Amino acid sequence: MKANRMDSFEISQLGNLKWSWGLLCVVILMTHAALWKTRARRLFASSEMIKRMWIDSSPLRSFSRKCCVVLTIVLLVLSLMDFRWGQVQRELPQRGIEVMFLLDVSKSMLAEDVKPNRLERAKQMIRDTVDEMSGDRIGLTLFAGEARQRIPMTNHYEEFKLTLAEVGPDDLTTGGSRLGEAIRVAADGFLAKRNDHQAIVIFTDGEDQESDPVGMAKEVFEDRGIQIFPIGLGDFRTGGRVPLVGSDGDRYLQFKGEQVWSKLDGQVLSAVAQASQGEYIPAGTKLVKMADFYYGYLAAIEQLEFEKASFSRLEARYQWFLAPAILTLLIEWLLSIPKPIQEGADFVNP
Amino acid sequence: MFQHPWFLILLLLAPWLIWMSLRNRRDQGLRFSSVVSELELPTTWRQRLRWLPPALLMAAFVLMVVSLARPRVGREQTLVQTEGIAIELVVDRSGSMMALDFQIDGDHVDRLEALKNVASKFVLGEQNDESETGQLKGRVSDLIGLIVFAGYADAITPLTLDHSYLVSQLNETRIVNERSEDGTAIGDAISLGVEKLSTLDERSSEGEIESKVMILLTDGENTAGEIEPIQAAELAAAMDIKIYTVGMGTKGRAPFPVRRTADGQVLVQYQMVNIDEETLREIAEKTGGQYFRATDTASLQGIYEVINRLEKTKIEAESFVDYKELAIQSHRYFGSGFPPLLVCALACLLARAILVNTFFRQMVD
Repeated sequence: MKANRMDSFEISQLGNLKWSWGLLCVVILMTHAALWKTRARRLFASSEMIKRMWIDSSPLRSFSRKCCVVLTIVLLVLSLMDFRWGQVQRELPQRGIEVMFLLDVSKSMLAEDVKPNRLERAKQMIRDTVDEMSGDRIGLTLFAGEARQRIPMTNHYEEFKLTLAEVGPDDLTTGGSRLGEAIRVAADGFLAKRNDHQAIVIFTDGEDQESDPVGMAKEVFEDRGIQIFPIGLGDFRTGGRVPLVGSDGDRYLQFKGEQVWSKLDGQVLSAVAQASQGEYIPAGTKLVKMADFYYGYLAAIEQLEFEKASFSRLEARYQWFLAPAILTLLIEWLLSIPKPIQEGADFVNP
Repeated sequence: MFQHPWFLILLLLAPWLIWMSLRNRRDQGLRFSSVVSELELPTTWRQRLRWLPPALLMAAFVLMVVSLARPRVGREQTLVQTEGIAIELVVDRSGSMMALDFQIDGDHVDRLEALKNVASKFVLGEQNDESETGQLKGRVSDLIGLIVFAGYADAITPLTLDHSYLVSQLNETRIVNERSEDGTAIGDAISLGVEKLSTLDERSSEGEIESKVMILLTDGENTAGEIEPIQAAELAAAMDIKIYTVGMGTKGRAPFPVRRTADGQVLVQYQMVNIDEETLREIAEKTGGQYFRATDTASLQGIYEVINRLEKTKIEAESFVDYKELAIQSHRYFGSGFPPLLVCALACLLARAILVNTFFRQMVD
């Protein structure tokens, strides 16, 4: 959210001013109801009788109650706008885990059995996972026939997403799918010296070309405690055809005159997960809620305290508006409690 | 979790308030002689729902008191960045950058290698030895981007705070080896830089960018591309972008590697080189920058030190986790979003005010 800021003062959430429409609505309804009441009274009784019948109603009290309601809402809207002023020194431990996303960019990831295609779906899943994070460091490694670290471990999530959007099969020159080597490159990308706070999340369609991913997974887990979570994309029964880049969508990858149907192969992936005490998620063609994945698996990994960050921020001051709002709310409440019935009134209901 | 938990004591008021309004509860009404009370009237849905407005009020009160106690969790990923500057490094990688007229620690290196060395110090700061008068502290809080060009200009990294990434990309830059790509498209490179810098404001999270700077480093004349360098400089000036130009290399003859002998020696051949200093100077003048001439590694580093001094940034930027104020900021937990507490309170109050003045409006209150 874009903040309006100066050095010493800032309105962080100007957008909440939209609630003023609700306020306007309430004021209009209040006026309408008040007019209705006067008209209804006149219909009900002559002005002579009104005085006798409405003995315990006080226009002043009713008006101040309305004022209190309006004032409370105004103050609440003000506190929601999140005014901040005054620099305050804060110290906060920065903790999190390191996650390396290992993204398959081989040609088979362009198959459209998952909409829009496997690669775009994988990117969306990575973005969804990152949205759940705070404090964790993330990196991106691409692989096909070779593997290359594309984004080193960082906690600048926005930059990460910008670069992620741009990657594709063209980033690597060697085609294929060598998962074992990819795991090794990904494992080398971690920054922290202590290793049991690290995870690799693999997005692939599971075709491997004899690079022994299971052995490599076992190795990185035993040496360095890195857990691996493979996520399998693509249809595992019929598979998907791989469209040729640059064609209008009718031409697909062929081998010896027959169309190649690329299928999700879950066996290797599930073995990789087992070898590193991770978990294999056969997403297939379904939508997987990445938030559940994050909280179910990644958040369970013990967090590492990177360093204590000491920083100076503007202090939130919403309480300064909230306290008077509570006061006006209470006043309105007290005013709404009816007075006890006066003795010697004309009639008393049985 | 709560910064001022003692405010929660106010919650004790709630039962008292409920008790107060229940104690004095009676049917408000008019004094009016009528037989209606003798009739058996069915209860309407309005009567059944009469508890709703006070319940909403109660809920709002509780939410407000809880908010007053200031609940917060350390889960807000913040990027503090104010008044930073954006620097686009525009680096020539044309074939002439191969000339071996620079030295690092006594070894002859090509111009691009020398530039990588100095530019990464400029970006990250000098970390190695303290004996040297380390002028370069690094540009921690600036957005830095990298554009390389030869016959064509390419944006290698977007403007980013992630400087280690930028430097690793810079170090992967290679001199062009295909003749078809060779050339020096200074004009194209400048206009690409202008485009990247001027679209920066549209990216939201970065805050205000106070000044925008391009550091153009080349060793030749504009020989390729569609845009004249001076035109591009005028474009930059119109967009308020300052360009520092650095002309690199010795004057006259420069040693170029020809081939490697069997025992690893590099044979060189001297070739005439030319830098279009006039144009570079004019580009700098038009945009309020400065032109520099680097003939060796020391002078190149000196130039970066001057630029480093000229372009000051005030506030440091860092990405870190700050407290999230649950009262006024929405919160994600286990995949579902929770609105700020005070938004709920406000919604309750608005709903109550609307109900009281419409469905539950009374002739007596």
